[in-house]
Amino acid sequence: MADRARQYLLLADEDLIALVQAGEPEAFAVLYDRHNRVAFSLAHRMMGERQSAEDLVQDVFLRIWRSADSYRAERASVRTWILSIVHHRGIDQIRSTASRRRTQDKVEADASKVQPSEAFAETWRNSQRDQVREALNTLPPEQLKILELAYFSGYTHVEIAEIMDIPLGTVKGRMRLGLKKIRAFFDQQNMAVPGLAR
Amino acid sequence: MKREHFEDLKESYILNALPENERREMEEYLVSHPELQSEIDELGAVAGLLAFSPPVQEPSPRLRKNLMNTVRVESDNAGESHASERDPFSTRVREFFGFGRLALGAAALVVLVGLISWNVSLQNQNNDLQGKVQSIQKQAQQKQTQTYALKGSGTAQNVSGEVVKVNSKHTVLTADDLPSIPKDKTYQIWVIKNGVPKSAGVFNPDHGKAAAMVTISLKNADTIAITIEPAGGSSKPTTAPIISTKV
Repeated sequence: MADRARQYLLLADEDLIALVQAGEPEAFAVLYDRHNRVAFSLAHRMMGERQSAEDLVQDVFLRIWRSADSYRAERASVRTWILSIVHHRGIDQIRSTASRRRTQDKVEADASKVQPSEAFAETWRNSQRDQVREALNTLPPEQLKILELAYFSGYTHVEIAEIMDIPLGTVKGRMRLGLKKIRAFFDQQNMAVPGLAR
Repeated sequence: MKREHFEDLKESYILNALPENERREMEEYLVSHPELQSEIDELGAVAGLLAFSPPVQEPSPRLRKNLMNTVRVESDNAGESHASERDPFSTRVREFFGFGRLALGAAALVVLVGLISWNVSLQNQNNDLQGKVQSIQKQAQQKQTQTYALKGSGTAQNVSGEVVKVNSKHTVLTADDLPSIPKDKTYQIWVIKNGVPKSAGVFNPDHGKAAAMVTISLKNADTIAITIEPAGGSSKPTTAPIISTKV
């Protein structure tokens, strides 16, 4: 068993997923060990506190264990797939519960009109994070804030327009420009966007 | 929905920022225009980068324990149910004949043939899965790897272990006999390039043993080193390396 677990450490995520589909708990453990931090970090950012974030991550990884056959390698990398499940499940939960947190976000959104977002000011610890940070740092604060409100806090574009007191067309425009700019950053550096299916 | 409406909404869609009715419209449009799916996937990957931006947080070890308990129980149960899925063959035949319905011989034959095909199909599925697992396990054993032996010093002088570079993207570190460290500390891996250490992950040993992914590439690296750092890791090493290997 220990030898097998050690061998699994050498496998690519896509191979581990095939083993998880076949019901191999040790392969699942390796997959969890590889991706739990990034999944939990996203869950924590979305849910705002540890217990809800752990509940969300538990729910997501059990879904992965039970429905690993829903992974499509041609659509995205395994890590991107896991994070998209965290994101979608997180948004569902936020939308079904969140009114207090949204008030808090409104205050933050107002503040962001006069100062840059602090959400990405933390030090990141690996090169992928560094690349992403660099890309996000190229965005004007108002574009970044809109992406954050949509992605992390689960607001619809209409709600963002209300919160930030700007026209819906401006929200859509800033979303478009923000994503375009991130893409352009990777293109300029001749780097692939991390997470795209290879 | 018209194409220009799709273009107007696609960013909101991939950020999950559409109200329910518009989201459904987009999904219906995508079903009828599958050629647009790759554009959506690509845009989704760009938006997905936001997921990497929050500061790194560590879930509690309890979460892993709970998950693995559930997974192992479900795995065991699945094994049992695979076995019992084959049982209905004998069970149903026994019941059938036990009720003295031999007169329905023709019907029994039909049921029997059906059940036998079902049984064979289940066995084939099982064999397929086993074949898949064995093939991947064999693949793991046959991977062309480069291995670097770790050397410990000071309190870690008894450490044995290795760094295994599987390919340009995947490197794994395994170590035994690691000294225990306080709860508020962690082991941190550094990949040193041109004298500059870059963090390549943190780990905490379990009964002196550890296996961890080296999270950055070894390209142009001189050395891999391990230090003891405050829990969560440091942006730069704050203590001297106690384990290292030349690459």
